[in-house]
Amino acid sequence: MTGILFALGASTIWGIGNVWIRLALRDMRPTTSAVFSLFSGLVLLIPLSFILHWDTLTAMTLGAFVAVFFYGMSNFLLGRFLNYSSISRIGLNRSVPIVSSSPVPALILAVLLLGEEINLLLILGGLTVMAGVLLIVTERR
Amino acid sequence: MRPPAHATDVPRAELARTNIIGYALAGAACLAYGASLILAKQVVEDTPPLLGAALGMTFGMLVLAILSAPDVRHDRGTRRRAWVWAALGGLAAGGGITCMFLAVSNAPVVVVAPILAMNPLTAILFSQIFIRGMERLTWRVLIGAVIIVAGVIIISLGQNT
Repeated sequence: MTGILFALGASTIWGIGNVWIRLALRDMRPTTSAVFSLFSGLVLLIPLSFILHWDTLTAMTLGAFVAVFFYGMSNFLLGRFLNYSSISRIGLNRSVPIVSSSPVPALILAVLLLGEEINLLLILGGLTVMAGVLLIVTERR
Repeated sequence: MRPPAHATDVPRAELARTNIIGYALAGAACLAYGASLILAKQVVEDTPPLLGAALGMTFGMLVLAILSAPDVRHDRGTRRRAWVWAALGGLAAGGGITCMFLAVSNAPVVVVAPILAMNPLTAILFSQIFIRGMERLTWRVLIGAVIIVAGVIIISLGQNT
């Protein structure tokens, strides 16, 4: 039950967070919003992660730091900046569902790069997501 | 009397252009997040997920701050309210990540992932409650979002079978 409550909490907090970002983007550029939101997010994450994982941090290898660096570039630099830029242009309601389709490219990359196996459910899920994206993108405004 | 051509055509053309760029940016963000999910698999082999997220966020913020320094300088005079919204948005993103890790460590992924996938629907729900005047919601977008969430849930189930 605790896990479900935390998952519901995450989904709710992300949802309301997107609304706050939409409000910030009325007056602020996506780049500035992304930098400042990352900074404020770190205020929460850095102390918590350092307290819980200090020993791991001090023992991390260069290779582990490099992996984390590229992860940070992909998720927090590119992902967040592009996400906020998109919200500022087409709005929250259109942007967020498309951005949250990320499991589909992840699935394709996992099959192509990591040689992971694909099953019928994954194909069905991918096609369902693409149908939803098409429905939104082809709307005449 | 019909309005002059430029009065109707230009805004429409501009709206179409904004839409195309906006959708392209959303697609690119989707790709970046998708790639990050693959990179995250590599990260969690050596690093606890919470620490990986915190360090990745630090690297991302530092590089983005350097690249976008002129924009940040330009926005210095922006209304204080906008900074507060951005700060709250960042805290929510960080809080969401923390809750996600706590959820995964307290319940099976097959239970947690579908709930996390509901995020677009909660965003739409809150946008309709708090910023309805800013965000137009049509049935087509709502149905599209529901279908996407369903698809992501099917994928998460497929990954755990």
